[in-house]
Amino acid sequence: MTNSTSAQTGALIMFSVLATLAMLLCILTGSEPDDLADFYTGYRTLTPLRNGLAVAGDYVSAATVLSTSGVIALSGYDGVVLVLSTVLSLLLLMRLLAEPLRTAGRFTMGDVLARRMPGRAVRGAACAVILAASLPFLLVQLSVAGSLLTFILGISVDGAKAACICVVGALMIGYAAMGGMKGTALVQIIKMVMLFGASLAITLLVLSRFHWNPDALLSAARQGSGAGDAYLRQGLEFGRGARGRLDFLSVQISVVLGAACLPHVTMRMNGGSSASAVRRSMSWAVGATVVIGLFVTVMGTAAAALVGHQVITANDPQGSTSLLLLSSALGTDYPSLGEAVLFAAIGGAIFMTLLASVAGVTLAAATSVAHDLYAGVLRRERATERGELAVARWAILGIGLVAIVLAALVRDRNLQVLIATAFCVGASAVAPALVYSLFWSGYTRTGLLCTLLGGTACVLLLMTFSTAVSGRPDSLFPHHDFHWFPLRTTGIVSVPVGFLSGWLGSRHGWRSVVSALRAAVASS
Amino acid sequence: MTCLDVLLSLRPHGRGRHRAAERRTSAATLNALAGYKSWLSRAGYWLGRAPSMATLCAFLLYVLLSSFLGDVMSLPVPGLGNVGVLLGLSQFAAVFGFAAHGLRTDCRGDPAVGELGEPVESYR
Repeated sequence: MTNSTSAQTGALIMFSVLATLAMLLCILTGSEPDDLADFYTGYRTLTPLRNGLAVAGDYVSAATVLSTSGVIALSGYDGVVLVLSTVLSLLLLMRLLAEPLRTAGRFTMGDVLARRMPGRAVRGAACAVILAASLPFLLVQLSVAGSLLTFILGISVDGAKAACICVVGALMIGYAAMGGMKGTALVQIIKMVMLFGASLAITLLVLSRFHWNPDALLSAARQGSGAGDAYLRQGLEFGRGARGRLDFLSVQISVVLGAACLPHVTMRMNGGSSASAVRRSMSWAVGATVVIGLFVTVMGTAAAALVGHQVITANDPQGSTSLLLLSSALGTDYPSLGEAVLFAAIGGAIFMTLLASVAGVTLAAATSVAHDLYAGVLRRERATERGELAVARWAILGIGLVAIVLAALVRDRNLQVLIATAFCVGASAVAPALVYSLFWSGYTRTGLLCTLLGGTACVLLLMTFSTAVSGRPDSLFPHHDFHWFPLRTTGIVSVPVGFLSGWLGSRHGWRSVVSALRAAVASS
Repeated sequence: MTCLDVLLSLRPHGRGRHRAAERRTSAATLNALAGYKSWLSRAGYWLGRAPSMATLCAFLLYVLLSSFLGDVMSLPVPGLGNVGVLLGLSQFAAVFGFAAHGLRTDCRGDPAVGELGEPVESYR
């Protein structure tokens, strides 16, 4: 590793300045203690461009940038398809759901679902599903934050990772609790601009290094990855057998339907001033995501070409440090100052990405706890604004602390299973519920509950017994084997289950669902 | 015709009661027309969404081709690696085109969105 001390000092100064600046912004834009609409939506005062950048900032999470660039660096083609499905998911949200969501929504996703079918059961189920999708996502981001910060700062003391997780977690709680929707939107905008600038610089440097010839970059990547022609074919990440192909298909279905349906992204739709403003915001968001996706693709390929497979896997088996390694490798062309500046720029962009993603997810989860669980279920929609806002802030603290403790406990494990769980819950429970309740007039309360609970239960059950949890060297528990579901992601089964259970529940009520379950149990 | 005449003609036993059947027919026609219009607007909504649905289908086809017809996808293309990379990049371009188009269009009056109206649920 070529981290010099000057680069690390630069990165540390950059982190402190950025964290302070973001906290200042959140305090300045913070809402009054009884102003619910300001805290949840920022009074819908953001212009389409700013709201679009905030949506893109929430959508392009740390896991997307770091893990995907790692997958591209190590497996090439599979990673590029993953970027493509991520981008496409936001496009589907923009074209199919964004405007109806804005028209039907008020503060949370629970509002959209409870609009036609008000009731405590619907609110409670919505909150449970949102937590099931948000908490795993938050854990992954925090854990990635821990390993990235220790790597950037070059600390290898035992417990440093846990300390970094605590620092990032504390900042995240502060941003979400102080800033609310508007403050986190500003943090997201800063993050998008920084990420764009840093990745544009690296992409241009990479392309000029290969004399603006994509073929030269690709052939260098083929050699550097050590896989030869297989680098540009499907199969390095998931395997080329029938199981690998199904796994590939399942992952793509989960990402394309689930990534944009995660609650922290759909919640941003409520920030637009009107449905047409949301359409414009989403156009900016999709454009920004496409550009960042292309940059990530080029940077991941360049990491394979310039850093090489062995160095990347030696630093991190999943390759999430490949962007930083690439910036160091490029920096050696421009000795002393260039290396420090490049490393600090990409490190700062990644640091902001980590902070902004965790703050957005925490805010969405806590908002749902306060608005759906506390105000909707416990107080039967008779809570005061001041009380609900206080609960929202306490919920941010509570969820943040739980996430910090869990992330510190599981920091050394492979957490791909958690991100797969979040995407699968999004694709199998949230996406069918939103599509049915916005577009099907025959959808009933039973159908909605069946979709939410059936989809989530199916994901959690299959995921627990999948190869992502046990039975393989790269599983969450590599030394145990209790798997019977042969794939790593459940999308290929759980998405049809989610849609089907909603249809069955709406058409035939509880009885048919119970009898279908009985038949399934009897046949197995 | 005064207002009183209108009111009387609307009463089931009033002056214009023999026109009841006629009124029923015209009401049925109007209803049918409204149904037809709502069907039309729905069809229009989904037709407007057809390009994005086509993009989704194209992506799923691309995933299937990549996994089951790997040999075709790895045919070399000069300057850009192979067919798979070329198709992937063209999908990026298509998504970017959608984003640019979304900024260019004025997005008034989406029929299905208009039908949803304001939230009906009173909060507190």
